[in-house]
Amino acid sequence: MKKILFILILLFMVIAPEFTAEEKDPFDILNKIDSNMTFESAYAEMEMIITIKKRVIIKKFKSYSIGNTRSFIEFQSPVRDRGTKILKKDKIIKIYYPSAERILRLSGHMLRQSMMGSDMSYEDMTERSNKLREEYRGEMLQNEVLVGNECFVLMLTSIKKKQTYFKRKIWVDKRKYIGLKEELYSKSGKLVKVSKVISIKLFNNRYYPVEMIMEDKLRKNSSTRIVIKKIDFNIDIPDEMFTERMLLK
Amino acid sequence: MFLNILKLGWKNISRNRKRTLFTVVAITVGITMLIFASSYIEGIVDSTTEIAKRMRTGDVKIMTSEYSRLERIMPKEELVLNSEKLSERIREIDDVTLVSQMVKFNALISKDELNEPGVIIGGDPEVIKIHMGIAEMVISGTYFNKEKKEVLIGRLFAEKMGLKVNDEILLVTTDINYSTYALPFRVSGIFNTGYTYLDKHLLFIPLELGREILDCPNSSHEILIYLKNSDKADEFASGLKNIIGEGTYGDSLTALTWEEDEIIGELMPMVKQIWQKILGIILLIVAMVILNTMLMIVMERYQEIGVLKAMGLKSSEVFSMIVTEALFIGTIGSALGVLIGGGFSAWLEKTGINFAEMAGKEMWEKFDMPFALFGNIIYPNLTLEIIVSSFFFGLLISVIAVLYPAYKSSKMLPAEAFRSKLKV
Repeated sequence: MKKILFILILLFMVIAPEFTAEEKDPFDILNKIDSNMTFESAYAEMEMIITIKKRVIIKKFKSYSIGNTRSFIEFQSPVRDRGTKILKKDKIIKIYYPSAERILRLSGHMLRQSMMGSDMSYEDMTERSNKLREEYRGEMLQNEVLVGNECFVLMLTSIKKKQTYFKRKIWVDKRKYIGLKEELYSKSGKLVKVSKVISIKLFNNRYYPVEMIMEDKLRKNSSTRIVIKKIDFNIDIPDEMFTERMLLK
Repeated sequence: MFLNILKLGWKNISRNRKRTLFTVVAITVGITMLIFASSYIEGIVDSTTEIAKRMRTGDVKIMTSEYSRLERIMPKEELVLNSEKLSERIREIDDVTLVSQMVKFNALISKDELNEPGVIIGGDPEVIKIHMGIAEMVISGTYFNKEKKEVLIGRLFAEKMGLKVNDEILLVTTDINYSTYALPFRVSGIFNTGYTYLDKHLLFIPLELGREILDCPNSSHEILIYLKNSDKADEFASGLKNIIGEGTYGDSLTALTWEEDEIIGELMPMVKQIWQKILGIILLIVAMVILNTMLMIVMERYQEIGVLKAMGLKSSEVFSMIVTEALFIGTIGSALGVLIGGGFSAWLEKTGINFAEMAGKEMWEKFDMPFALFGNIIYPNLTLEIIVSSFFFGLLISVIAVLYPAYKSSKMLPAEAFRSKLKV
């Protein structure tokens, strides 16, 4: 009897983590991704490689960010984009256009427009897990293995009638707590966008994606790859960086 | 004998004036309706074709095949290269009266915190001014100065964004290389075409500024060609194949005639078909009214016909007499219908029918179709064909209506006529 009990306890210990994982709240998983991805501050140099039909357009930019609420992006190339700056403060996005020497505050449907010609929208840029918790109902699906990685699969369904992405299917790496893939669906069930993480690097005991690809399925033969060329975490960024003055500078 | 029948027929219709009047009125009303409806349909088709030719098709339009396929979404990168040079070459061809280059794209229009999408037409200022006639439609401010960053906006767009003349707006779009570009513009004028779609979505800027925004010097999305004779558009478009096939001006260019345009070629036949069905119903009603009245005038006279036959009138003479009466009544009714319907349509041809007023301004402005199909004022188009065909239609139906009862009554024996009613 003791032997049976011992085997049972041992068995439980082995499968317990699996049990707890299955019982997880989808939003806890998302929060965990967020906390994993969010650093106090970061400076990054990135490339946005837009492939549309047979054309490849490379855009280089640098970004400064504090937490996941404030960021400042400045485009360096191509020539026409040079000097274009994007300031994001919470949900507010302002863009400075050097050609017009004017600042545009984005609102409404404009947030759903393509960001700098990419497959990403400005709205995609501002989304956080808070929004997901408030506006979606979560459900855990059957775990899956994605490119050799064990993944939780979450399905989020909007509780609001009007939502750009009514359903979202997210594959989360169980070990690294990084969203490896996301499928975004419209209310009619049409697949609108797909994003995939291509490469992940370890920084100070945390995993961080350094290359990802997004495809806007409504644009034919189009994809946008984002590659982080350089990234420094927890550096000093003055608050002044996130002001209109810096946009105009 | 024939003259006698004619005299008798004329006498008969003037004998019972009330009955004749009633029949004539029925035919007149029917023919009036027919003429008005026909000229109204002609008016819709003509005005839509005319505005479509003036604003978007020309007689012949050159663009890339891909642009033509995706015209609704206006793919920016689908350009006719060196369009300046190509336009110059086309201008040298006989029969060409005007060549107009255009860039068209979607953009975001911003003013303070407000952002609205708009369709930008970058064109030759002189063409937009005179040929498209936009200058005449400017209701506030002035036509734009091509040397300055000025824009013309529609009345409904201005209302939507609360814009006034001299306000500054920011025009933002992605160029042909997917770079985001913005330029500030001053609203020089507000136009009102009466077409909800145009007034709500279109913004006109000089061609060169459109090219600057899109980063496509010397290129255009469309080249509109106007000919001395529109009927030769097909021939002209085929002739262009050699020039546009050279490859100098981009790959796979196509030259489409105005008849091959989406609106004129697909939508208009559909609209015409719907209206023809409505016209068919009107025709049927008119025919039924005429038929009924004509039938009635024969049926109620069976005793009179019996007397005539008893007096020795031959069957063929009775038949001819009734048909002659129908001919007289049909001619008078149709002629009056032509006069009234024609006069009314001719008057409306000058004044137009203001649908915006009839439907109510608010209701009309909600009628926002992706392609400008109807203006707020429709001018009927009365043609000789409509007049002649309507007149003969009235006449024919009147005669056809009496053929059978005339035949039956001519074959009737006098005794039968006195005893019972005519069975038809």
